[in-house]
Amino acid sequence: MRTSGQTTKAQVDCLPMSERIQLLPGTLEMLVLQTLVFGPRHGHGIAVAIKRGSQDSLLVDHGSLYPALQRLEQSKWIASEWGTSENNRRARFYKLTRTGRTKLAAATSKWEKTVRAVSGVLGMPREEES
Amino acid sequence: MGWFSRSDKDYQEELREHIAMETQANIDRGMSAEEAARAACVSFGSVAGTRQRLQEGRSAYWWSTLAQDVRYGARMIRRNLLLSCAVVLTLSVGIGLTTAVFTVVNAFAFSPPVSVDPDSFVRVLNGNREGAKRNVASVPVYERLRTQVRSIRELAAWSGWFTLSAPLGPTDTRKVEGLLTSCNFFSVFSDEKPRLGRFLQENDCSMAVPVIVISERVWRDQFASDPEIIGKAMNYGGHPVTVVGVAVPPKLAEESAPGLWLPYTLQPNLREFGVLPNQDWLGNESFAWLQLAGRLQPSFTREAAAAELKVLMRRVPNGSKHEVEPRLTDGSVWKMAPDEVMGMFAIALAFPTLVMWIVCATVSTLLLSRAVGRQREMAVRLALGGGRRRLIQMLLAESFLLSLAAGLLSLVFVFKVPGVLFDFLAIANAPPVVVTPDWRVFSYLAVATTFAAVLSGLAPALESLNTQLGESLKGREIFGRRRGGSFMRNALVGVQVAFSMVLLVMAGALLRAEHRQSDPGFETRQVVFAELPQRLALNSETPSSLTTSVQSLPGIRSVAFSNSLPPFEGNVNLDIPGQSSQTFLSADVSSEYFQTFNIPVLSGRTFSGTDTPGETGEEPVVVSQRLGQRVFPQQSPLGKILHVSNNARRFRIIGVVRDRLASGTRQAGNDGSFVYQQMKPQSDGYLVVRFDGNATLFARALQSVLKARTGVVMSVSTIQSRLDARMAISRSVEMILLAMGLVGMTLTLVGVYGVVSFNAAQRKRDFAIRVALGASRESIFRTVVKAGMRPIPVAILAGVVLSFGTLKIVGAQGLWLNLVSQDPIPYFAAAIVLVLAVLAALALPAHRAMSSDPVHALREE
Repeated sequence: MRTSGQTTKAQVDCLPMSERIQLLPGTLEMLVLQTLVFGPRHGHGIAVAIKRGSQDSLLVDHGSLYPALQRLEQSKWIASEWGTSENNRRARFYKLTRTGRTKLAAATSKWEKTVRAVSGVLGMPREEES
Repeated sequence: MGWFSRSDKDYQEELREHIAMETQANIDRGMSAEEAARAACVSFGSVAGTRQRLQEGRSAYWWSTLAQDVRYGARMIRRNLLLSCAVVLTLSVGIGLTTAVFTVVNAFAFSPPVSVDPDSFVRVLNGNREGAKRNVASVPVYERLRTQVRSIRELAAWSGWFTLSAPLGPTDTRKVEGLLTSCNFFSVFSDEKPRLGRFLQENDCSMAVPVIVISERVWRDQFASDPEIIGKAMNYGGHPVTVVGVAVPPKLAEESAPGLWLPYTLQPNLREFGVLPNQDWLGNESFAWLQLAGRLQPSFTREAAAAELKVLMRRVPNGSKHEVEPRLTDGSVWKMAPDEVMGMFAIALAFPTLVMWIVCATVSTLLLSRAVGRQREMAVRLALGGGRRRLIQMLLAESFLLSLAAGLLSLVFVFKVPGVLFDFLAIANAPPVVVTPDWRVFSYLAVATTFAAVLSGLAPALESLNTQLGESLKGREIFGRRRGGSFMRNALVGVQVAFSMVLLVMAGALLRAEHRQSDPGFETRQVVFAELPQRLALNSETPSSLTTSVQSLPGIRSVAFSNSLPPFEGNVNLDIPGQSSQTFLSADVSSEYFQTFNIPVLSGRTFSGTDTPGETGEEPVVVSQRLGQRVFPQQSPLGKILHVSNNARRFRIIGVVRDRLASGTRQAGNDGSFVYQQMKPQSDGYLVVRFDGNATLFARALQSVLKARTGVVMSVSTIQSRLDARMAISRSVEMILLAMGLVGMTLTLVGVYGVVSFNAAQRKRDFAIRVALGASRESIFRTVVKAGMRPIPVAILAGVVLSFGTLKIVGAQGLWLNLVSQDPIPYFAAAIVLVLAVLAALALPAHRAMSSDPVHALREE
């Protein structure tokens, strides 16, 4: 069984955080795509961008970023290649594809609609509730 | 290939760089190196988990893990060799049975009718929804097509269901089905040489030479395989014919094999034996009675030939109402009647599939006990981060391996069983179907194997993973009392019991149907019948003058006429007041019919010679008791009027007779309702004679009288022999069903035994404590039996519902006489048998649990 062989030092050190903000399913992909709008970034860069963009309130587990990147890459919404980071380290850079851009636009407008609708309901005057 | 080939290593490097960057960023923020690394790890989460997820996301992942899982599965199988062998054997019974049946139906449905160069074979069907599908050409049309068509090198024609039926031989009077064929018929259909003599030749048709080719069966049964038969002169329907050959019937899949073939140009000579008697079919331009098939010229496709035929058929003057739209097929039954084939598949596969479900459930229960033993191993794997889906895949790989072995083993069934099945069913008139498994059979086998693997393996796999980590890791097995596990086991037992019940009830109902036939409600042994030839009318012989001469025979009791014979009769639609139109079984009978068949008249009277439609135009009818009760509940049906649907005819009920056996048809049920209409004196049909004394002697005497009066040798036999012939096949089917039911029940008992003894073994300590605290041993026995019986009531109930539905469906096919779904006895019998058998299977583990030494059990920790 593979798992036993994979017990690395990192796993022993990295204890899972007890409290983490759960993103809605599919939201992470949208956030990732958005960070790539202004040019290619590597995985760490994407994580930092999301953290900054959300004013530190969205705490994305960096580890969960990579399966999302893999999924996006497999559906050809993003593409990737090895390059050199700003600190002269080797890093894998991701960039949006044409399909990705279209999908992002669609996802964004859908999200905005959802948000408007939900906040419309939540913002209803209290009296109407009963 | 870019992303497709990104390896585990590639991702690993990316993740390492990510953590390094984060660490660097943390150091830049002013953390110490150690703290920075820790924080980076914390913000990343589980590296191993991420790597696992990335791996699972890779498209090549499935294949790489499959190899591992197969290795693991093989190891597990080797470790439990005995159990694995049992599982493989059991599964192969289930898979093999259904695949063997599929092979038979498949061979019947999909194979083209010729085996030599089947690609060039074409069967001409009518693609136009209006008009007959198979009877596509009249003789003039066929003859013109044959000379003009370019794309088809041999175009043969035959009479399809417009066969002749006439007595054959110098002395023998048995009727033989004759197929009128064009004289190139055998060169299109037959792959072999004739057994003796020759096939029909071209000049046999052009000169209308009265020659026939007889089938191997007729040669064997009627002429004792006489090697000198070629050139012998004999009679067919009173006309001299010469036998020129003996042949194995070519496979015209949808028709039963005829007994002889003769040139279609002989039709006018034998016109009184056809379906539409006394007509000359040769010159009739608009009567399309011929079916066509042929062989393509090389380099022509079926589509091209169809297009050519279409043009040619337009060109010839066609008097018929509907234009024929030629559609050329490979000649398989599937292309001819897809709906019927689907129905056939459903009916034929239903019961073997039930057996397969039972088999899978049994294997499931066998594997379940082992699954619980594996819970600890699985708990360790889960604790180390193995994903549940991944583990299920791993566990299923083992059942796939087992199923694969079973699938291979069941190939033996696939190759052997169809032959055995045919021999057992001994269908005399069945066309010789060559049963060779093809890609469809192997696909079905693959599907069945996969199905079996998932069905038998999923429950144990889920059970293996259904662990409470803490308990399992500490080495404690989870007691079988948790709801999840025991629910699954009970459900499996329930499925087995319910499905076995369906098989047993089916077999029981068929046996009952046959038993009921032993008293069909009319005389069968002392009644003979003869099918009157239409020639009767030609000889100016009337039913009444024939009756007079038959009545002079010694031992005669009474003589009657009818248009059909039990148990296969016609229908009539009646408008029932307050209800929709209903279909009832019906027959046209003469007044002596009831006396002849010894059907007692309960009230009113039967027909008399003076019965005529009165001024009101109501025709007198006699009905069965059941019909009276059904249509006029709590009233006397005498004198009541029945309206025929969509028709101005009305019936007046003049008498009520006792119910008797009749075969339901697709439209009319077989609850005993019956309408007897008065036979019009001119109609053709059957002569029915009741007599005293020896049947063989009487039949011979009657035959000679009939020959003297009409000049035709008619076959005379008892009604009982007619019933027996019809029942032979269904009796074989009963036996097959009963065998399947017993196999199903045995497997069910194995399953029940397995589950209960496993449960009891698991609760050994529990029981030991109870005994130590003073519980009586009987109470332990009762507890085990009660736990084992828990799923049974629901299962029996489900079984009743399922078998009721199944019986309804099968009964509606009209294949069996007297098959009724309301008869409670098969249900009770099956339920009692099953409950007793289950109790017996429970007794052993319960006894073992009761008599085990509590001290032992408690020490075993």
